[in-house]
Order: sequence, then C-alpha cells, then structure tokens
Amino acid sequence: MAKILVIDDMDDVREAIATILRQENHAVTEASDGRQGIAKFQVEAFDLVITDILMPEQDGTEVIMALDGMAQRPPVLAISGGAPKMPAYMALHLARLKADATLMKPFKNAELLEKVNLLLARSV
Amino acid sequence: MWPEAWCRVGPILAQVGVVAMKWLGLMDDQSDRPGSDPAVPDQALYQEFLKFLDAREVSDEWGWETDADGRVTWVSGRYGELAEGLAENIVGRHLVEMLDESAGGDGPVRVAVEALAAGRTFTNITCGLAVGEKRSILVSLNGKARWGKTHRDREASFLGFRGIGRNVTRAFQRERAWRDLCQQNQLLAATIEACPVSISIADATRPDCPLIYVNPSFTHITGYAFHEVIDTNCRFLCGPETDPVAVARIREGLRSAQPVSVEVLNYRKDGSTFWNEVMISPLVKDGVVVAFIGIQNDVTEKKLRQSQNQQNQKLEALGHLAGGVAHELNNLLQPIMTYGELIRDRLPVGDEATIRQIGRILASAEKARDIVRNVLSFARNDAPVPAPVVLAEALREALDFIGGLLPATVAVKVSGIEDNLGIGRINAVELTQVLTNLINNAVQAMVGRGAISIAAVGGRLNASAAVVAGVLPGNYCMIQVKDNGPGMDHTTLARLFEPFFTTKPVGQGTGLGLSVVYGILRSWGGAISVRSVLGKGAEFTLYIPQQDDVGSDGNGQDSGD
Repeated sequence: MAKILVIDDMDDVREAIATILRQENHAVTEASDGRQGIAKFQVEAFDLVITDILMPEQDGTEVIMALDGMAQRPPVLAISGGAPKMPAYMALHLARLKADATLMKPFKNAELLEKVNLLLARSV
Repeated sequence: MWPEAWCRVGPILAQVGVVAMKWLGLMDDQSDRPGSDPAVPDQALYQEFLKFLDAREVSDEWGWETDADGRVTWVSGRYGELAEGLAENIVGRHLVEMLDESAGGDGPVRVAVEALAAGRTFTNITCGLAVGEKRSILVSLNGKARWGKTHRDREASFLGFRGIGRNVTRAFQRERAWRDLCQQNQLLAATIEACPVSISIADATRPDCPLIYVNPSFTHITGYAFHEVIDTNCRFLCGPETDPVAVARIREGLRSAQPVSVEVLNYRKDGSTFWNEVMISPLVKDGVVVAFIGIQNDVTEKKLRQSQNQQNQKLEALGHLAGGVAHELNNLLQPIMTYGELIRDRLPVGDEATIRQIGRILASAEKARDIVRNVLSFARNDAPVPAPVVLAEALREALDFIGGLLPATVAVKVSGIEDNLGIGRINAVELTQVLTNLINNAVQAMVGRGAISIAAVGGRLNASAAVVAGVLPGNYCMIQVKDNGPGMDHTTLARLFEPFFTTKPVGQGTGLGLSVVYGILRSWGGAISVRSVLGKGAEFTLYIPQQDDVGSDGNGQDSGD
C-alpha cells in the first residue's frame, strides 16, 4: 500500500483514477487543482504524485516545480488530455523534462497501474 | 485675232515685259546679240510673257535676284505674302547673311553658302531664311548664276543670281509631324506586339464584333495564331465549363459600351483550360464605339494559389476546431474507459451477456479514442517527431505491410520505385498510415474489386509545378497512387481532405482517413494532390520534401541519386 496524491481538475477523471488505485489498496488523496495539491504535499508525505498538466490556478508544471524544491521528492506521473491551445503531446513533452513518467488520456486501467507500480518500485 | 485695244497697247506692254523679264532672269540677256532690237519684240515672245504673268499670279513661288556680291537686289511682288516678311527686310542685304541654320529643316545651309560663294547655279536647297526680326522660315531656293558680257568685255563675268524661292515651312512641319507620327505608331505597334499581356481588338462596327488584331501574347496564352482568329468573334475561347454568368457580363458590357472586367474559364486551342482575367474597354471615336480593346491575362496560377490558400486556411481552422473538440473528448473518455474496465473486472464469472455489453462500451470508447488521435494527427497537434528516413526503403516496407492486408480481388501493382527518392524527414509509421489510408480509400471506392498502381520518383518541382502541388519549389519524392475506381466529381474533390467528410454511407467510415493523410503530409512540409474525373478513377500524388543536407542530421545513407 502506498500513499498517492491525485491532482486533476476534471472531477470524473480524478475520481476514476482514485477508484482504480483504491481498488489496489493504495491510500489516495485527491486535489482538484495545482494549488490544492501543493498545499497537501507540503503538510503530508506521499509515495507518488499523479498530476494533470493543464489545470486552472496552478498547473501541473508548477506542481512539479514545487515538488522539486522539497528535500524528499516523491516520483511524479504526469497525465494530460491536452487543451485547445496546448496539445497533449506538447504538455507531456514539457512535463517529461521533470516528471518521472507520462501518460496520455484516455488510458487503460492496466496502463495506469503499470506506470504506478513501476514508479513505486523505483522509489523503494 | 487680236482685239483692237490689245493691238494698240500691245507693243508698249511688250517693251515693258521684255524689260521685266530681263529683270526676272526669264530671258537671256540678249543685249550683246548682234542685230537684235529690244524695242521690237515679236508676238511669240509677248505671248510667253503674258503666260508668265498669269502663272506668277497663282504661283506659290517668288522671284529673287542678287548682284555679283550676293546682295539681294530684288524680290518679286508676292514675296511679302508668301514669305510672310517685308521685302525691305531682305532687299539690299547679303543672301548668305540671311541663311539661318537654326531654322531647322534638313537643308544644308553650307551647300547654299558654297554655291552662292562659287557663283554656281543651284537647285532645291532647303534652308532657313531670316525674313524678319528674329523670324525665320524654311525656304526652298533655286538660283541660276548669271554670267554675261557686254560688247566691251572680252570675257563673261559673274553678274549675280536670279532664282525663285518657296516657303516650305508648313510643308516641312507637316512632313516632320507625319514622320513623328509614323515613328510613334511604329513604337506603339512594336510595344503592343512585345507586350507580355495579351491584347486583342475587335471591330465594333461590324456584325458580331470580329477580332481584327491580336498580339503575340494572345497566341502565347490561347495557342491560336493570328490568322486563325482574325475575322471571328472571340467566343471560340469559351467551352462547356465556361461560366455563362461571366459570358453574360461580357455581353452586357459590349452591349452597353461600358468597360467590363471578369475572370472566366477559357479553352486553349489544344482544349486545355485556363483562367482568363479579361478586361474589355470600348474605343469611342466621334461618339461612336468603333472597337473593343480586350486585355487577357492568364491567372490560372494565381487562382490555384488562391484556392490552395483558401483550402489550407479552411483546413487549418477545421483542424483547430477539431483539436479543441478532441481534447475535450480525451477527458470525457477517461471515466468511461476506467469505470467500464472496473465494472467488467467486478462482474461474476458466467455473466457473459453483461461482460459482452461492457466489452461493447469499452470497444466503442477505444474506437473513439483512436478517432480523437486521428483528428489530432490531422490538426498537427499530435505529431510524432520525424527523423531522416531513406524513402525508397520506407516505401517498400510500408507496401509490404499493406500488401498482406488487402483483399485478393484488388490487384496492387508497384510499377516503379526509383532509387532517387532520397532521404525525407518523416516518420515511417506515419508513411505506412498514409498509404494504408489511401489504399483503403481506393479499395472502398472500388467496392473491393479493381486495380491500384503505385509509382514513386524523385525530382525537382519548379515554381509553377510547386504552386500546383501546393508546396515550395524544391526537390521532392513524389509517390503516386492510382486506382481505376469510379472517380470523383468536383464537389467531392473540393472537400476531400476535410475531416468528417465522407462519401461512404453512415456508419461505414469515419471520414477521417484522407484528412489524416493531409495532416501528416503537411507536418512533413509536403502536400497531397488529387486528380480525378468521374468514372475514370483517381490519382493521388504525395509530395515529400527531400532533405538536401543528409550528412548533418541523417545516418549518412544515400539513396543513390
């Protein structure tokens, strides 16, 4: 069991991801934008952060930068479905510079779990 | 019979006449002739004199005389009228002094001066003559050198000149104006002949306004020679696809004698079409339209470029819109796929019906995801990073792959993949996708039965070929995919590359195949063009830019060109 923070402004997407992870017995904390997410991991340690890239308030790249400033930085999985003016591949390309893995929406449950397990195994 | 009065005054007049004729130089000086008596003129001489007087009345020449020094001693009575100067301005002055070089004309004053100086008879010397204060005219002068001796002289001595003069100023001006006009006309004619714009002139005074002139550019544009079009109305340029509205506008312009400008599809002599920007203006003389001047400009390339640009802009806009929709869909599809899988995984073993239904949901979601990816590919929002690829190899591999997927009823003939295809900065998987889509499209158009031929060459596209292809001039690998299917009409051709445009029945195609091809080709800096006639198959040409500098970025392989 790992402690995982899921940050996504799309409620349905965030809840779907959280459901998969909880089914795998992970302890999931949800945040609906970058600012909330940053606030959470500043007071609580996580084994993995899954963040959307394109969000209102503070976006995923800011989340990753905030994580980079921490002494114990958890691995980051960046996800994106893109936005009209920011293609998903471009968003993920940016995220890839700092994120540990990326995944383009929509993805299959198995694809998500594969990445999650990989990152958790690496951080152990 | 002489009238009585003439008999009385005749001898007197005759004497006066002889004296006058001597003065005028019309009679030889016979004073030294032995036995002659000037007091008794014969009747013949008298008659001659009368004729002279009559002739002088209506002559446009005047008489003149100088002494041996060249000083003007006399001018005849009509001098003032004809030369538009006063006799006293000239009499008593040296003729040479009055010759005026600056008065123009082509008469060599020098010749006159020499003749006068040498005491030599001269004829038809045209030169300037100062006839008044700061006023010169052009004159034509004839002068006879008079030599004579009296019975006292042993040798004849020079007595001076007698001659006639004529004012040729106006004649010369007319001639010069005429010459200038001729030169201008020649220049104009040469200009019109050499003009790179097609010019035609139609006779408005004859029925049906036949052409009376076309310049070489007209021949260049239309293929018709001068003799083939003269005396015919220029409607021979129209053909089946010429817009009747444009023709009606021209006709209305001619009827109302108003300038008219239209773009119209015309036909060359060889049957090929071109877009003709026609401007017609009436030529009005004395209030009557005598001719129509036509200027024709072949704007085919411009039209193609415009239509290509419009097409590109439209597709860009559609791509942007499609990109936005696609990204929204990505997020909407995520919960469908996630929960669908979760529900499926939780179902009790044996509930096959529900498992199958959930499977349908998931399959649809994945199909939707693939469509979204294709839309993104069209919108160039999801482009894989291209890399230098040996095009001949990539093409052969792609065709090998596709070959295995085709129905046996479709014959694919690879008629030639040349080795000079070069290196292209592309993605080999995308090339396979492009060809798959094109060939699938052909197979579906042929309803699973027919022949597809594929050929590829490398070569340079010059400016005009590049415009037609919709790319920049340069070296390209050109891949041609031809089918013998039912072909397409103009409407379909115009919309072929739009996303969601499909001719297939609802449910049989997403309508994304060719727009994806378009998007991929554009992302490589290439293009796709299509030619098709309804009932005669279709021919797609892919243009992939060849990389010039292979060594700097590629793997150093050369395709052998």
